Amino acid sequence: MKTSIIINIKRVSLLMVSAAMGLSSCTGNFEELNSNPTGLGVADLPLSTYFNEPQLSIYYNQSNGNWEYQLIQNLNADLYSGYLAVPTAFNSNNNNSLYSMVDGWNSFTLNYGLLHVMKPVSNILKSTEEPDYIAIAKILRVAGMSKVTDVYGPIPYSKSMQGGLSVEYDSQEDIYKSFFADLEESINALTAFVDANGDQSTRLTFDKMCGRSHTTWLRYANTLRLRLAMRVVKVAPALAKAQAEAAVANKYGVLTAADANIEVKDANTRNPLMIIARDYNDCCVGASFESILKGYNDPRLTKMVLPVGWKLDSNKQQIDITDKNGNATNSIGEVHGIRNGFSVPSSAVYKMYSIPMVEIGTTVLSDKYPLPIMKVAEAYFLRAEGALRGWTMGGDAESLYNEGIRVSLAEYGVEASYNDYVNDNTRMAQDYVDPYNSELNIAAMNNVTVKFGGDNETKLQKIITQKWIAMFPEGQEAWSEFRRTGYPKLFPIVENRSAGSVAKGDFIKRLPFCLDERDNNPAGVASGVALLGGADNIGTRLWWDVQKGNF
Amino acid sequence: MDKDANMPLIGANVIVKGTTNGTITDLDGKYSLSVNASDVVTFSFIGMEAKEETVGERTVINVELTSGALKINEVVVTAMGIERKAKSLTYATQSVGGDELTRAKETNLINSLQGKTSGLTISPNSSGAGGSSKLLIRGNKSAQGNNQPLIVIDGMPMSNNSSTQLESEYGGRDGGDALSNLNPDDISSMNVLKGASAAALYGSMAANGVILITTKKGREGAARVDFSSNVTMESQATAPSLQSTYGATVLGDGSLSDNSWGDKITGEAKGANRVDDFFRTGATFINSVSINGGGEKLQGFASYANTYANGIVPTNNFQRHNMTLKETIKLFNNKVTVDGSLNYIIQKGTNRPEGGQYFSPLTGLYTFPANGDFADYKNNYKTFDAVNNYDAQNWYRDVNQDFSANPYWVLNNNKHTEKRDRMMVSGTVKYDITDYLNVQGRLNYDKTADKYDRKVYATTSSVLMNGSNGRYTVNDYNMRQFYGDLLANFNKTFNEWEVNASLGTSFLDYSTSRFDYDTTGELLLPNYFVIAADSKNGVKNYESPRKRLNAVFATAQVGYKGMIYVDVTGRNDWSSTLAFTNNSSYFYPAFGVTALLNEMMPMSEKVNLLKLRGSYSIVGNDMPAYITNPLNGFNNGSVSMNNNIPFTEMKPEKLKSLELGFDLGMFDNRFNWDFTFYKSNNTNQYFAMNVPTGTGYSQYYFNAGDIQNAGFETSFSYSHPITSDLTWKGSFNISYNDNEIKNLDDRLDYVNIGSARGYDFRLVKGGSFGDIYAKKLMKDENGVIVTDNNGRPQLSANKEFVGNVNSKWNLGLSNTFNYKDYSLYFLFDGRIGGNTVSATQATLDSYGVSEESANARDNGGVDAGNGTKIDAYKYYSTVGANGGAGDQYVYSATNFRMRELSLGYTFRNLLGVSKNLSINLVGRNLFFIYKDSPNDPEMSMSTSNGYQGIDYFALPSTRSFGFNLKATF
Repeated sequence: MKTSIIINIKRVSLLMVSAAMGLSSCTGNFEELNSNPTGLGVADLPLSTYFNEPQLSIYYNQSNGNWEYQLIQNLNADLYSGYLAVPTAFNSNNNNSLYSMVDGWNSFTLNYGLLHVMKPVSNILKSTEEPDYIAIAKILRVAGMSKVTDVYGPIPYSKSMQGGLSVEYDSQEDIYKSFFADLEESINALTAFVDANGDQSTRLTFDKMCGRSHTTWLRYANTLRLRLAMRVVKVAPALAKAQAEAAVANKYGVLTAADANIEVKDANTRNPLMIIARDYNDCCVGASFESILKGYNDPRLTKMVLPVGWKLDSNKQQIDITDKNGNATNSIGEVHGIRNGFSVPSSAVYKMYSIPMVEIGTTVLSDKYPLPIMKVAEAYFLRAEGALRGWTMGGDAESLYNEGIRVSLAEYGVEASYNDYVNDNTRMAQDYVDPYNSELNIAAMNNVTVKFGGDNETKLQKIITQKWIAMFPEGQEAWSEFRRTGYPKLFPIVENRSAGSVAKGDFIKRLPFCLDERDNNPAGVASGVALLGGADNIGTRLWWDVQKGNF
Repeated sequence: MDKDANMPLIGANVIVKGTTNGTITDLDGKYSLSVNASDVVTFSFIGMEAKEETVGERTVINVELTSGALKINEVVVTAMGIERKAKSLTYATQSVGGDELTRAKETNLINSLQGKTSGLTISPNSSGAGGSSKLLIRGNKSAQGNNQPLIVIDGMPMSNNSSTQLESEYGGRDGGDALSNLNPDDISSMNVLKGASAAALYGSMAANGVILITTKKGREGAARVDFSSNVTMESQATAPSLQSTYGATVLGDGSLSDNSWGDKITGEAKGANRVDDFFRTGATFINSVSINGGGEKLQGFASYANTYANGIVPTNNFQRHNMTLKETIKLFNNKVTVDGSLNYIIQKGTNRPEGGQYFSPLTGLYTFPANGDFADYKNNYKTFDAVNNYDAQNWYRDVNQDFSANPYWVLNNNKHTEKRDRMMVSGTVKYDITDYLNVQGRLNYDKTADKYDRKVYATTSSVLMNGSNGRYTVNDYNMRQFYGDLLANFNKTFNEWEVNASLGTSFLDYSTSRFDYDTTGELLLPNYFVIAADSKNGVKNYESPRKRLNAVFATAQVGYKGMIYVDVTGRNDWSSTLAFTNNSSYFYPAFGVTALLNEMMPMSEKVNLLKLRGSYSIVGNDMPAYITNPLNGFNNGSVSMNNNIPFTEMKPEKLKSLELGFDLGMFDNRFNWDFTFYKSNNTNQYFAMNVPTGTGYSQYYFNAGDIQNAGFETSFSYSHPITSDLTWKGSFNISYNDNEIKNLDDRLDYVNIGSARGYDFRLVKGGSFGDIYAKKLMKDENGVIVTDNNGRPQLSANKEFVGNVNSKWNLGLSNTFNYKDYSLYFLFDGRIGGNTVSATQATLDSYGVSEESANARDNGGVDAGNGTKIDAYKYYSTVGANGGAGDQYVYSATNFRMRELSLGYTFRNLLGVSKNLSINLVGRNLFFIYKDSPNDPEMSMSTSNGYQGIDYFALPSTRSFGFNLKATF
């Protein structure tokens, strides 16, 4: 009895153990099982894939969603530039437009900049030694991250992309200096490359912005350098002059009328601003923009903005603006913008106001449109301002100014009006009238004419005003220049819900350090606040935004 | 005789053991049989403990059989299907008979167990028929991992994953779990193994406990047909409190503003009864038939159940067919038993309610102004657009936003349907080598195919579509699980020592494949819902986690004189999800001791059982697939870089648990009391931590933390014969669980496991699972609300702790009265403590449609606390907004309700000997005795860890009543 038990137990255990061993050896294919079959390892990726992301993220639409762009740029810089305004009562009007900052919105600019521009660029820099690729990667990094630092001020930069749990911030001064250093290296490398090889379009299959031309990349880099140089003219005038003159003096120069605008063209991407304006109906043209362009009788206005009547009701009839009593105001065919920063009524009474039309040409309301990065006209206006300051810009201020206007008019196909437009010394911005609510009416503020002349301050106002018009609708740059120069004179927000951070009548200076950073990187934020030189709120000026006169 | 009911037992089997010489008792419980003196006669009846009597010199043998709760010598099924004597178990279990699931049927059978087992809390999703329920035993233990118990059917684990669950306040749906698919009439009993010790044999899958389901099998005897029909009506049990005094502002052209902060309504408030107008009375019909029978060698069981439910939301309907076939064959002189079963389930649903604000009919319904003509929008939810040649949505406000739409448009023109096809096949072969040694092998294959689609017609909100011709979404989800095990069992008694041991090995192969399609461009033609008609490529996502778990396990139980039992278990797992680390194999042990004091020392004969038990176990848990090997993906034609990586090498989670308790049975087991104290610590948890994007990543994975659950469960039951015709049985169960997050990690202050509408679900060191954080309304030191210079109330700058969604106390009280052939059963249950959040109430306040906002306006404003008033609009639009004063909408979750009621009559032997017909009036969730929150605190929007306890336009809970008919042929 006992022996048979033991024998039976032995027999069974042997069976079990061999079965167990058989099964456990099946851990052999565990690594294969635990690998996502549709995943891509780092070794599988060619270099060109890393270039795709930053290009689509400077003016964000890399994922082809549109809400990201709305939160990254549209609901801050685009509004503060005066170009656009919101017809939607987000959060019962406690939102960015009225300076009541919505924490949940304001982290995206930083996060997307770091993850979709800094990160792929750092991957590129680690994986190639080709001088032109390294140069282009650095240019992309400067283009993308200059937008981010101009929103918040100090940001994680030189110590980023290194893992760890917290990242220290850099001061904006250091960041700008490293931008200049990067641009200088890239410009030198590309200059050498083009000198030796000319344009090699086959090397740039990933290029969506500069027409696969090394020379264009070079000119774009020079113009970017000129732009950033001008930004620091108040805080570091010697640095500004040196950088600007170096940019213009480069053998291949900055962007000129012979170049096309720098825009991202991609078959899979729709223009997010169009979606937000046309489909979400969350964005309309700003009152300041309407006031200035209507005042000048600017021929570009109807090419940049859709008049009232673009929105159709369910019977395909054009929707008109109604006044407070419900009567039609016969505004169809006219351009009407919306004030910034007022309490939007909850009903859709502002949704049919004019929206930006980002397609030049005959197809209105199209979303298949490139993402704007830099307009050629901007280069001329930057040079005009430099010439005004006595720098060597390869021309005098007036002719550069006029040329900038001509290039911009040509872009919109209205070059025929050039002579009348640049010689106009009477028309100025006109008063703004809101058909729905006359309490929002306001007298014109940007009272300069187009014709070049007057004292330096007036001349600067004209240059910046025309530059502002030409750069539409890229709001980030416009907002930065408005903060720097105070031009064009924008209408202040109607109702200030900033709880004291910004004085009534004054304008927002930056976005506070974002919620994600305060939650996940408190040590970093503390280092940033120390470098900020003021409280972490929307009223603290950035490094280059010195409170003094323009000259 | 049936001892408990004190009635003759009709149809009991009386058989001479080892032969076919037998008979059944007649209508008076009498029988006669020719036997020899040495024969042992076995008396048995389904659901009762069999008794054996040796004939000896007796000519009359009267026997009483007992049934119900665990009895002393009763054998129960434990982990892996291993049978053990109930008295020898060293851990807490609770057994529930199948009739608890079928007394008042629900479309998801597990909901019938609410309030009936201590320590098991069941939170149904507010998604109506076909929805999942979250099950929790002894609290939440794992931050990111699974907290639900393992479901085991006839010894084999069943995966209870669902294809998708809601993960934000915007949208997301309940994909339906696997447990809800089963037919309750197929279940003979359920045993809840509450602690990790009970479940140690199942390893990591069972760290949260196990629900062991034993299904009905064929039995020897003449064929028997059981039929049951359950018809219930459902109506809303909770409703938002809406006002009809103030309406929307009427604009110049006659249209209405979006919200209701306008003037008082003059004239008829046509929108006042919109909620009652909208919901209909739901109806559920569950019919099932089963047949079983067989001979000595071959027994079979077959069943079919048909479920048809119309929910309270119009157009919502749900159907299910369950088919089961089981066979048991004994071969080779009964040495080999072969069991096979085949289960096929087909399920189909239309417009099953989803959570969140996208595509929800309730958002537009609740916020519709009371002075609007709701009936007009109901009858004319669409108007024909002759220019575009399709129907366009008709609504009182601009539809191009992401919140409100005409509810009838959403139901008819944003319709979604889902189908599930599920097949489970299993086979078991058991070979009895000798009467003390047997070997058993099992295989189980479970395959589920789900298909979901939604058609969004043109003129739905442009925010929810791409392009203007509509949108088409299709999800295809396939899950396959293949399980097998091999066990050797040894059970022998040597004089005073009993040894029961098992040794085994198992494998589990789990794979899913998921294909999602969603239009990203324009459909070729309006409302032409064909995948190929998308002008761009459409979003296609493939996800296919796969996992393989191999294990070796052994358990041994040694008993001495039937007084003391010692249990030892060990299991080693190899998991593929820990490949690429050094930790893919992990071992865990469990130990237990039980002492039967009533056997060890002399006790009053009133005491039938006094048992002390204690056990300790360490159980591991692996992690989701692919975490240890992050790869990059692709999106929209370009590579999408992976931003989530392990911070350090990943390890399996480890749960240590200790359990102590006792069981007491007195007065012939009419009184039973069991009590268990437990403490468990879950360490090495898998976390995903948000890191600053400056690091180059957005999330790190790591192991850390220590989440502790400590508490007790106890249940009492007492049955008392009041007169010879009337008996009463009462039972009460109560449990207490205290969850504490003892440690997270030094690198983290807290972990966010979900956030919705301004509320964050955070795990904070020193806090507890289910803590919610939100901004608070600022008050000064005198309790006066602080306002800014515009008269708006101020909110705290940061989110602060506002409550916890888990209740510490859960209790249930049930009573059964049997009077002759009548029976009355009712169950109360409730929870004490904890909070629930009503984001719905916050939204209704901010829109001005809630009664509270009307009362404030009638009052002249909201009282600030110092005599002044704050303008109602300014107050509610700030406090009720997304990210507003969240603390104002956190309510106590304490509630008590009449959970189940059944009154019935049984016509005994109506259709033949032991063939009864019983009719019961049943009701579930009938009324609340106490409730503080506007919503039902037990419903939740999702079974995922982070979205419990918050209501955001979720379907109201329902009460149901109807009747149930059971017949045996």
